[in-house]
Amino acid sequence: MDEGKAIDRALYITKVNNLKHYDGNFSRIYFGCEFCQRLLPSVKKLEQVLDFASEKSLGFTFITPYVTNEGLKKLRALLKVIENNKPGSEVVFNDWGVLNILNEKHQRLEPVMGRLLIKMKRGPRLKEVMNSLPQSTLNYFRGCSLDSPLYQKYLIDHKIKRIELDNLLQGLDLNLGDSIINTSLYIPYAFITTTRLCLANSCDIAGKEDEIGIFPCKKECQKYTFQNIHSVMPVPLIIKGNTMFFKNENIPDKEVLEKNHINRLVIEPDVPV
Amino acid sequence: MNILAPIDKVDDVEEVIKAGANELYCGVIWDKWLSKYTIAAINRRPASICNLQSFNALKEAVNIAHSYNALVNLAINEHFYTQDQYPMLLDYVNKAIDAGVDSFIVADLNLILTLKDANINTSINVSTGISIFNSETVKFLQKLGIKKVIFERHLTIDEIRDIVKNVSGVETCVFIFNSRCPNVDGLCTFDHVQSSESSFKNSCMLPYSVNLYSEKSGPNKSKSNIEYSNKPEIAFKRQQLWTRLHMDDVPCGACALYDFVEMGIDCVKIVGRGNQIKRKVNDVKFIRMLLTLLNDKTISRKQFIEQTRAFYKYVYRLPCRTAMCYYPEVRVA
Repeated sequence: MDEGKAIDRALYITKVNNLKHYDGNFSRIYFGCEFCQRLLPSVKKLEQVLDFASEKSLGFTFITPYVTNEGLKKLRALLKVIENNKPGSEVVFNDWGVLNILNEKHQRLEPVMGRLLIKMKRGPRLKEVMNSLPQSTLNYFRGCSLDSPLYQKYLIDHKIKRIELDNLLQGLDLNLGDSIINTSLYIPYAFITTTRLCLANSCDIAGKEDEIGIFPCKKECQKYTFQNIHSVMPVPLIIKGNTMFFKNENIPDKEVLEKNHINRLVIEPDVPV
Repeated sequence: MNILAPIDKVDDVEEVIKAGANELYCGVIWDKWLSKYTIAAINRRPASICNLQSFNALKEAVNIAHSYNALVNLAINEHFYTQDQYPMLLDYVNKAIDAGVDSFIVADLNLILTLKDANINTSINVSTGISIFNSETVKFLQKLGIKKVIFERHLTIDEIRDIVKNVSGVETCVFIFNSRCPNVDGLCTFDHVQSSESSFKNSCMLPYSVNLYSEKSGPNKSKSNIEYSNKPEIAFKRQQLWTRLHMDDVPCGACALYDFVEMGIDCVKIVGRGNQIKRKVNDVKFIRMLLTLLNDKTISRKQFIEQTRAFYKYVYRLPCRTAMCYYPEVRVA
């Protein structure tokens, strides 16, 4: 990590009209969706955000979901647009297949490993038991496989120098050593779990309650957000579309940020679905 | 087509194979690991009942399976391990190799790299925990020398067909029965506790209270128009349904066997580590019976689906249900 440098702030939007949240205090725009290929933007919308980033001299990061072959087809078209319009842009991948095409076909884009591929446990219930766990178990829940030099080398060999992280309730201690890998921290919404059996699908049609599967979608996720509460969970679980989140607005102190190579905060003005 | 079935005891092996399984999978519980890492499990099934109790038991299970020409896969499928865990993990791997296992089921990319780096030649099968949604992911994994891929549960039959069409040189496996996880396994970061005690149930199985939520102000109590009025009720019903999806209320994808045989899938997986042996045997027999039916090349897709549904109702005394269907597009179509 570049010690002594001020931390970068990036604005993460899933919709073009959320550019309204840009206030001059961001150095980069994140645009796209991590959780559903049906929410991938059109070429036109992507170009609008790319133009905005260029006008304001901002960095651009395209954020992508896990995808089927059909989703990959859409994604390939979008990646070409970014590579042509703004080479050097970052692409956050949340699917190893997307990394494969970035490495093979898009040398002028910078792959960034998405938070869905960082498998750290995020169930909020963990926070309640952390004090009763032995140190070795505690270290596990604050860490992940990124502390392996072998894994770090593999990622760097695949052009990955940045990793995206959630702001976990149990804390972070990645033990990255002197790796050149830097990390970004998402604030305030942390993802917990995601599904393709989307509960938002047909959620406003009585009688369809038991029809859960991968069915055609009317983008109900853009209308409703639900909240699940249970006494064993220290915070509410927020469900938007096919994904569950919790909210954590407490930014770790400088020492924790530096120790975990966090040199960028990714600010989510809305639940990112 | 092989049937991949679970075992938890040495005594399970012969019965499950005789019921029709060609491949077995299992875990081994190891006190040394448990005493150091407690709830940080080695194979996503921390309960004792879901595991063989020792490497000697594993060796015995392997010997019996091999005498029937059946393969044994050991699940080392936690989604990640930290560097601190690797010395013990490699010790575990070597004990399993000594016991004669045929392959490891792995969900962590770093574990695959580590096994290769340690020149371990035992076959690696990629667990659903690595989340394969497309053919590019399969190609990515093939570069690491994996032998078999287990596809993500949340794929439609057409999506699976499209992947299979675009890859070669790798064995393929799909889920067919039990535990239709509500979330994408490899992208689910909930703690996987599995306890009958209500507070320690899997988080996806808890009976939550459901409200509308406003991103500006949290719980939304102000919206009272007709559009919003019945949403919490519907959402609550669906959440309750969600909690059942994970439980063994006999989720089934057997109607899709016709398509899977046609597209050349190598193996179907029955979930069920921790289930009673009677249930394990019943499930294997059910799937084997349907595969036998497909040996009759004259049977049509429609006839097969009708017979499968009738057979399911007869064996499990349950109706066919969308929410318990792995491939509901077959049912709704």
